[in-house]
Amino acid sequence: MSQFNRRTFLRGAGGVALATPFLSSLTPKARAATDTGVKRLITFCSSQGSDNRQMFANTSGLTGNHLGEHVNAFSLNDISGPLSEYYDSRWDTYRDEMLFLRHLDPLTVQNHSHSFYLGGWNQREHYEHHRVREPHETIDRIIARHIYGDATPADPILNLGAGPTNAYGDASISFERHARGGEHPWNDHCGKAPVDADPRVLFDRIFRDVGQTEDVRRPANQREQLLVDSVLGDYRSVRGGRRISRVDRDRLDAHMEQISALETRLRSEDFGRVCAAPEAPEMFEQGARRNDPLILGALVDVSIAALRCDLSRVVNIYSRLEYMAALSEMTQNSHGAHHGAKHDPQTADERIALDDLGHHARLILDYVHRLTEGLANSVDENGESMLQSSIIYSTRELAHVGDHWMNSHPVLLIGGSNCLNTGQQISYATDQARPAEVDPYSQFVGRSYAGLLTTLMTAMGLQPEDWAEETDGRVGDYSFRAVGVDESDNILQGTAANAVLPHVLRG
Amino acid sequence: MTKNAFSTLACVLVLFGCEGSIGDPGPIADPRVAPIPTVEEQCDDEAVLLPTRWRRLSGQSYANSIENLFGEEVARENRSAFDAISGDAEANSNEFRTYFEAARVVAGSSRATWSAHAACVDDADPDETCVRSFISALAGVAFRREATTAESEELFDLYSAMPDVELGLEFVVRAVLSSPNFVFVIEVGEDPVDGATDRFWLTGREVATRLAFTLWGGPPDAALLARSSELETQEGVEAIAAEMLSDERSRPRVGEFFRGWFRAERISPSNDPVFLDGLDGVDELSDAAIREFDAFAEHVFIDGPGSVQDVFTSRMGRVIDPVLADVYGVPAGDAYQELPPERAGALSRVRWLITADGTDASPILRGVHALRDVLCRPLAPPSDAEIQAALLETPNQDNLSVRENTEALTERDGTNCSSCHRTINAMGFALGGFDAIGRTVVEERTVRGGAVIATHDIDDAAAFTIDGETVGVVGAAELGAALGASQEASQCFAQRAFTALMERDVSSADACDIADATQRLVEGAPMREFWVELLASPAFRQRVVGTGADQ
Repeated sequence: MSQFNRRTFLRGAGGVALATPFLSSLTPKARAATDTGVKRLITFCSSQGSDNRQMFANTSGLTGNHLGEHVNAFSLNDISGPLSEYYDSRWDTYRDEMLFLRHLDPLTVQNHSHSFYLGGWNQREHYEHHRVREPHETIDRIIARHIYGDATPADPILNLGAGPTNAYGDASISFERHARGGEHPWNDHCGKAPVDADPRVLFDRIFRDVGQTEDVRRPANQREQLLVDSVLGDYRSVRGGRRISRVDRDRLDAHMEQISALETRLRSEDFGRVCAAPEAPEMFEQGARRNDPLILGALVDVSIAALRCDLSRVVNIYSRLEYMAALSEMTQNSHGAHHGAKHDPQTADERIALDDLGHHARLILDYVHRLTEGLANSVDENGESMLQSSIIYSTRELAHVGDHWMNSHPVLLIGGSNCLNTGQQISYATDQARPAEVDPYSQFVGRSYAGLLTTLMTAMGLQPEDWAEETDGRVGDYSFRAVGVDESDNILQGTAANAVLPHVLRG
Repeated sequence: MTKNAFSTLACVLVLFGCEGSIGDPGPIADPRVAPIPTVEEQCDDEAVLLPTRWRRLSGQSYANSIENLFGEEVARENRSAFDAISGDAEANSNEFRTYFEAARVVAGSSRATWSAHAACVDDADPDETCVRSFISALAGVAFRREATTAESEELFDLYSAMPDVELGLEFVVRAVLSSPNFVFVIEVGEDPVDGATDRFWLTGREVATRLAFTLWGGPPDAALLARSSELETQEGVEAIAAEMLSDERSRPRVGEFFRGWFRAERISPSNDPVFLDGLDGVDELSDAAIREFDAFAEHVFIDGPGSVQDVFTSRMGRVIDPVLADVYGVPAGDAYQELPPERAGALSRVRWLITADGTDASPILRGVHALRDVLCRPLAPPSDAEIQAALLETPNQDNLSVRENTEALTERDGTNCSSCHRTINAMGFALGGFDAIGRTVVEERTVRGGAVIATHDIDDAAAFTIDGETVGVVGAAELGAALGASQEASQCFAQRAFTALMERDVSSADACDIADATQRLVEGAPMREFWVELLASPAFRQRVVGTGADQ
C-alpha cells in the first residue's frame, strides 16, 4: 500500500463490496518456533497441593534406566495398572505422550505463590510483603515474544481462569497485555490475571472474525489496509510538524512501528483464514451464578478452539482456590483441604485433607485429559496431531498438603513428542535425603525447578541468549539459596544456571 | 524451627529496609530512611528545564473524550475496551493497538449517536455536504482544534472508498479516533519564552485543554474554550483554575491524587470469622473505605480549610456504607460528620490502615507506607534472602504481641535490620490501636486457626525522627499531628503535587520555584492554593521541547 499514491488507491478501492468486520484478533504469521517441532505452550495450574506422590507415576518395583548421575528414567509402559491413583486408566491412551519429571525443587519458593510455576521465584511473597510490584518475567511472556517477534499482537497470551476474579462471576478470560514489559499482572494463586472486562465481550473479541469465507475475507483485509494507511499518513504528518521534542518523536515512532506491523499482518495471505468458532459458554454472561462447576470445562473448550484457529499459541488455564469447592463439592469450606491440614487446628486431619485434595486433583485432571484429547483430535497444518506440536504443562500451586513447600513439584508434560522424550518418568533425586520432618512427601533433594523453565523455553526454540539478559538471568537461574536446606549442598550449587534438564529433549 | 513456622511467620511479620549500621539504636544511620533533601537544597537556577511531553489519553481520559464526542451512553457501554488503554502510565509495544481497538468498538455504536456533529448523518443516505460537515465537526472536537482542509479531505476520501454509507461513516470514526491528533494531546505553543528556541508559551486554547485534562481528566468543554483568551495570562489561569477546582469534575482527580500519595490501594481484608468477630459485609469494607477516603480527601482539599496539617488531623468524614460506619462507631449517612478522636487524619482511616490480608496488623508495612509514600523517604526493600535469613533466625511466638514479635525480629541490637526498622516500626507502633482492618481495639487479639489464642495490651507509644528531630508520640492522633506539622510531609505533598500536575519529575530548576511554596504549606497555606499556583506557573503554561527538537 505504501508504494502507491494513497489518495489514488483510496479512490480506486471504492465500490468494492464489503460486509464483514475487521480481523484484528487473528494471529500474525507466527515466527518459526517450529525448528524444534513445537509451537504451542499450554499451562494448566490449579490451586493448592495434593498428595504429591500420586501426582507422579507409581514406579515402585521397577528398575529405572540409569541415564547419568542422578538421572533415572522409567518407561510408563512398564507400569502395570493405572499410572497412579490420580492418573487412572483413561490416561493409558496417552502414556506415550506423557512425561513426568520428578524431584524438581523450587527451593526458594514457599507459601502460596503464583508466578513461580512460570517464573521460578516467588513474586507473590515479595508483593504481599512489600506491596511493591517489580517487573518479573515469566516464560509464557518470553515465549510469546519469541513466537510473534516484531509482529507481537496486542493479545499474545490467552489467560483463562476459573474462580472469582471480577464482577462478572467466576469465569474469566483475560489477555496478556504486558508481553513487552510493564508490571507483572499476576497476583494470586496460580496466576489470577487481571480481568478487567466482561468475559463475554472478550470471548466475542477472540472469535469474532473466524469463520469467514475467502470472498469476504480479502475485501475486508483490503478495507482495513486503507484505514491503517490513512492513520499512518496522519502519524507521518504530525511527526513532520514543528517543535516536536525528541521524546514525543520517539513515541510517535513507536506507534508508527506498530502500525507498520499491523499493515504487514493484514497483507499476509493466511490472515483471517477460515476456522470454526465455538458457542459462547452460557456462564460467560454477566450475572451467571458463581462457582458453576462447568466453568473449567468451558474454558478448556474455549482454549482448544482458540488453538485450533491459531488465535493464540500461548495459553494459561488456571483453577483458583475458590473454584475448588464448586468442582469437588468438598465437605469442608474452600479453606478446607490444604488449610485444614496447615492452618486450622480444629480440622488438622491430614487424611481428610488428602482425601479432599485427591478428589479435587482427579477432577482437575479430568479437564487436563479433556484438553489433551482435544488437541490429540485436532489436526495441525502439516497433517499431524496438534498434540504432537504442543506442550501441555500440568501442575498444581503447591506440592504438598500440610505445608507451603514445593519440593519435587508435580510436573507433567503432555505432548510435544516432536521434541520431548515422552513416555517416561524421569527422576532427578540425588543421594541427599531431607529430614522427614522437613519434607514427608519428597525424601530426596533434586534438581532446580528452574531447569524445567529453561527446558520448556528451549523446546519452544529459545536459547538462553534469547532471554537471559532481558530477564536479568532470573528465569532459569539456579543461584538460589535454599531455606531449610544445608547451604553446603554441593550438588545443588554445582548445577549451572540456565541449564536444560538432562534427557528431556530429543537429540 | 520448621518450615511451617517460617511461612507462618512470614505471613505475620514482614521486613523492610533491612540493612544498615549494626547495633546502632540512635538516629537514622541508613541513607535509605534518611529525610529527602529539602527543595532549597535541590534548587538550581541554572539547571536545564526538563522537556514537556504530549499527554497520551489514558483509559479514563479516553472515556471522557468519547463521552464528549458521542455521549455518556456510548462511553459507558464500551468502557471495557477503554480499560485496556494504559496511557502514559505504562509504555508497551502494543499501545497503538489498544487505541485502534477502542476506536473500532466505538465506531460500532449506533449512527444516531453521531448525529450531534451533523444531524443529517442519521439519514439513510446523507449527501456529500452532510458527510463533509460531519467530518469537519467530528474532527474539530476530536482533535481539539479545527481540522485542516487536507485532514478533512483525507477523511472524505476514506469515506468514499467504502462500499456503503454505513461502512464509510464507521471508518471515518475509526480513522479520527485512531489519529495521533486524538490519541495525543498535541501542543505546539506560540511565542518563544524570552527569545529561547526550545521554550514556547502555550496558546490560551492549549492551556484550557491542558487544564481540563489535568483537573477533569478529559477535554475542555465549550464554556472553558470560550474563555481561552483569559488563559493567556498568569492571573487569568489562577482565576479559572480556582474555579475549575470547585467544579464537581475535579473531585475524582483530587481523590486520585490523595490515594496515590497515601498509596491507599484496594486490599482484600481477612475474612476469618473469628477475627471479624461479627462484622458483617467485610467484602465490601475495602471498597467502602476507598469511598470514604476519597470523600475525606475531597472535603479537606476542596471544601477546606485544606492545609497539609488538616490531612493528618481532620476528623471530618462522610461514612455512607453501614459496614464502615460500624467500624467507626458512627451512624451511616451522606453528610459529613465528626468522627471519634482516634480517627484524626488520613493515617487513621480504614483505607490506609488495611495493610495486610492476615489477621495481625502489620506495623512494618504501615511504617513503610508512612515513610516511603507519605513522607517521600526513599526506602529499598531487603532481598528475599535477607528476609528469609532473618526469619530463620527469629522464631515467631504466638504468646507475644505483634509489637514484641516485630521488635524481636527486626530490632535486636547487633543485627543489620535494627537501625532502619527502629524508624520504620515506630510509625507502625503508634498505630497499634487499630487492628488489621482498621478497627479500634482496646486489646490485641492473636487469632490463629479460627481461634483467639492470646490477647495483649496495646502499646502505641513510639519515638522516631522527623525533620531531624526525635519526636515521641502516643497513638494515631499524636502521630498525625507530628507528621502533619513536619516539613517532610509538606515537602512530600508539594513534590507529589508537582509530579501529578506537571506529569513529569521535579527538576532542580523546578525545585527553586516550589521551595517557597513548601514553606508556606508548612505554615498552613491551603493545598489547593498551591495547586492553583502550580497550574498558573510558567512551568505549566510553557512547552519545553528540549534539545534535538524539530523547530
